[in-house]
Amino acid sequence: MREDHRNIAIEAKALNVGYRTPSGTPAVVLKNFDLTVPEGEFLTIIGPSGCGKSTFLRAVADLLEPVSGSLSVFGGDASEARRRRDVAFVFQDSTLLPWRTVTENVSLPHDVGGGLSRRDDGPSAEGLLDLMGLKGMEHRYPSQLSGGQRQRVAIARALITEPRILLMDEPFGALDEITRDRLNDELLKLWRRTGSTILFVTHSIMEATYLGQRVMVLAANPGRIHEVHDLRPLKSADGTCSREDPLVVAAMAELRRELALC
Amino acid sequence: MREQVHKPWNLILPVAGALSIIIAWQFLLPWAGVPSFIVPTPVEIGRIFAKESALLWTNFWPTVYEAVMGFLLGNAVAVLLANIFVYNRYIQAAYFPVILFLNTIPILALAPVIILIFGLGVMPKIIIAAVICFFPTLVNMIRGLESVSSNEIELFRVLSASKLETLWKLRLPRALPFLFSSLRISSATAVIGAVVGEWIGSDKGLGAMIIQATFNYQSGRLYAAITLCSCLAILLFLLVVAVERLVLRYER
Repeated sequence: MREDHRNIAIEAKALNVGYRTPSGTPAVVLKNFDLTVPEGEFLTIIGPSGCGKSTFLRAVADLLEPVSGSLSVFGGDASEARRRRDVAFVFQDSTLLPWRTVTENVSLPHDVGGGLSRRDDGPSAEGLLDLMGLKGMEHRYPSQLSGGQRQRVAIARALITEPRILLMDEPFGALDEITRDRLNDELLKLWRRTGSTILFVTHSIMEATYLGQRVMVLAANPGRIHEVHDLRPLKSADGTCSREDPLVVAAMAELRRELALC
Repeated sequence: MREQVHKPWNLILPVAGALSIIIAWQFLLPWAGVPSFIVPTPVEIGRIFAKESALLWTNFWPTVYEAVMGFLLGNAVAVLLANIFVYNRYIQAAYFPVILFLNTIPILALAPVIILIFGLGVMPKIIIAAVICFFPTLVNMIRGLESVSSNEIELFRVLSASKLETLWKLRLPRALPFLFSSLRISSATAVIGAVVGEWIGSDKGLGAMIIQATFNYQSGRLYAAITLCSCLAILLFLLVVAVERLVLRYER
């Protein structure tokens, strides 16, 4: 796919996002944000605590309203995109409902919001669970799963609406490193398969480098873009790289130096 | 940490404990010279159950009816009101303090007022039982409905869920464990309410029987009525636990 033919998934111009403090004065978390994300990109976001990584995802998901500036998602409002079910969110804690079985959790998006976006040819919960390596777990409750399995269920739930944008807020942050590496590989496979746009917030330099086609480094107080690195030269045609590749290691070292300054 | 009691001892020990007290009661009280019209022995109470079973049953059922209806009414109103309060903060801010104040009135002081309003029939007993059940369930239910996490709320918002869907599919299931813990408590307090109501103005029911038996020094009958009250509370409690196990299967 040639770059200039790609649709724009997310476009932020002079975007300020914040919230109102209890006393009523607006507090700006993200300041003067300019960013264009082409459709199908895997963008990782890294930065110190309080830099507004999650705030940006929440603005795209229409969970926070911009204070000023513009934010368009597929050319329209974030709220329109949400209502079209163009975006799905994966949280750090899987946010599975403990009273629903695995299958019932995955099909939650069909049970609320007036069953928006439900199509007969859409993916089935069973198919997605199979894809996420959870065959045989369909009737278990979340309390009977490991942390990694719970996060797989959360991803399956996000995929059932076939979202064009997947927003992931440190989804593997609470997992052990072995599970995390495995899920990183599976996520890359999934991304290639579905071609969806992924915004992935992480605290891990390794994860940011390994997954992202581009890495956006944010600085704190106020949250702003420090630098956006293009990592595509390091990656093979299918978007993967080796964690031991000297170029990848060097890129990680550079990111680490940069983060020390943010 | 203290040692845990393991099977089968966790069943044998409490039974043995209760038996030891009953046996001590049976033999020590007469030995100490306590007359049986003050405290009858367990055997004498058992004899009353055999001899006066018809009378006991006729007085058992009104209390069962009042306690169960009061339990259902009080908890239903509490659940409904909790939903209204969580749905609208302004209503909660205006009326919750009033309810808090009303809850400080002892039920024994409130009971005559309720009898005055509703007369001497079954209704005032049901209302008194309901009033006792109401408050703990209201407080617990509000806490339960508000126990949703911010991520859960955000998840439902991203899915464009309506307020009603968020209530049905998120807040209510979240509140169920809270509800059941207060239902367990009110299964016992509902019986208290029914009995207190019968004390003040009734000629049937276990409460009325307790009052009459006390004034007539029919202590065997008094103790039998007390035993039935306790059995009723235990029965209601076990019923709540059974329903809870059925509904909250995922917790185990």
